[in-house]
Amino acid sequence: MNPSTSAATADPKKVKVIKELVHDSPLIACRFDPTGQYVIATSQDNKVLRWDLESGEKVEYISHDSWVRGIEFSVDGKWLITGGFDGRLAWWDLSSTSTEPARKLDAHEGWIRSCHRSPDGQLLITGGNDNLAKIWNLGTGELLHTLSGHEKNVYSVAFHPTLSCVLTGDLAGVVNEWDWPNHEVTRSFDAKALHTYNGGQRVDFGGVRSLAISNDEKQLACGGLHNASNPLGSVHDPLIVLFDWESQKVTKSLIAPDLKGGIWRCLFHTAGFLFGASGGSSGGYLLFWDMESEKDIHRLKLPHLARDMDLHLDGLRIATSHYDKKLRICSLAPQD
Amino acid sequence: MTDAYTASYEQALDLMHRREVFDVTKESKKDQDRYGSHDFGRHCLLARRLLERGITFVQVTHSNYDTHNENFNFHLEQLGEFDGPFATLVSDLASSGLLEHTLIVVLSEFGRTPNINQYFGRDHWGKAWSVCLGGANIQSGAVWGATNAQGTEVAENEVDHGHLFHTYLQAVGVDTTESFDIDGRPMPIADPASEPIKDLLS
Repeated sequence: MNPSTSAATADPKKVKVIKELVHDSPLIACRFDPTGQYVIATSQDNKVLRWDLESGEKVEYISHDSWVRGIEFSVDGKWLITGGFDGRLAWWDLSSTSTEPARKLDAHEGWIRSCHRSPDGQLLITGGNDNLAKIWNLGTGELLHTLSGHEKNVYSVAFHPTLSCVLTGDLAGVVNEWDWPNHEVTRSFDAKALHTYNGGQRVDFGGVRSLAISNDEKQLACGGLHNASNPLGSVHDPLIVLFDWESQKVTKSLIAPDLKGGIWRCLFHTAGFLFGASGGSSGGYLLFWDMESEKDIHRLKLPHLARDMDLHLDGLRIATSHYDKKLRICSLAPQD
Repeated sequence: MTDAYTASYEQALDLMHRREVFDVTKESKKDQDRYGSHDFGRHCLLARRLLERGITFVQVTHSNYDTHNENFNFHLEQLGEFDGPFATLVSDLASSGLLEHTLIVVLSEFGRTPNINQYFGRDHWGKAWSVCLGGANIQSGAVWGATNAQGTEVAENEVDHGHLFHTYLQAVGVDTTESFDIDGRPMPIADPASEPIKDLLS
């Protein structure tokens, strides 16, 4: 069954955990590679891990001096690019047996929080704690442009799938749309619902933790959290703000009633639903929305907090990374 | 009882007569910019102003390190705010010579867990943490005590508040073997069963 055919059969209400892959340190981020053969995860021991989905074989890539949040690939899956809290980008050749980075460069002053590849595979955008987004030649590692203008840390970055623009979201809930190739802010989406300033604790909290554009390109989803009554104590609720791409108006605020947590990542599924991974004081959940209701239509309680999530190219498998040192694979297949 | 009230009001009156020492806006615009406009910056500048005017004890509070959730995000915010004004205060005290007889203590009431919890946070940890001292008769660069490699326990030269109290006071020239006199009842200035950390004193 080809990926688009199998994806169409995905059924959120059938979601279940089908596999667990175990490391010896808590996991942070995760992504499937473009070939569908591997799942990549990062861990609190500063490693980048590659698991073969069939055999379960694990390869460890060690080079970053800190945790890694950004994971991307070249279109053909040959290159893995990671962006760490050490401010560095590293290129790893997944087609070789070497576990040394083929290229490593200082990319941001402070954490790299997010990486995303352009649709044509030529460019990479990164965002970080220096309040900058940077655009790189993905093949050579050359810095092409620096996008300056955010007043808070850049939490998430994304290329538009077809238009000549990139999106950057920050801690304050500002989402900038930068045109290409002028690299100027042409529009800003107001996702401030995802930001909390707590006067008692005197902290900024929340931020645009995930950006996703719908398959018909008519909607923009910004994932994160709100109702942060106690940021230092992890008391907050998950929230996805849904925008009409054209008008920039908020069309829905997607919530999960009675659940404490935050959305680490959200994605549109080609079968017509939106889903997100939540971690927080209620535990870990996969949450599903049907785009009609603002309340989730289904939720899967995971055995532990989810910290990141990705969808396999078959459209039926979801990877989640967890504090309990496990990477979990869930299935959306309609039958066992 | 009446004497106590009278003493309190007289002390308050004395403070009001010198209210200008609390007016940080009388400092130069340049200094206000150097310290920053947020509370901690203004309070560090106020601390300098008070010390320059002979106030003998100044406490500056910087709170919200209780980061059970997303410790690193919040500490970037908090320490980013702390670093600049604190360094400016130390630098100014050193330049004016006040640091030679001013003891600076940076402390919190407990530490944070060496392990990271499931929310990327750190919880309370009372078994081992650090206090930073400088100025007065404290030896520059001296380190006393150590934890194990995991930071979970004190591995050598464990001290407690009794040792620290002796050390603070002796650094500013107080004989900690003496006593207060409270209504004819002698009260030791510091715990007689404890002693200063001599290796930290110059």
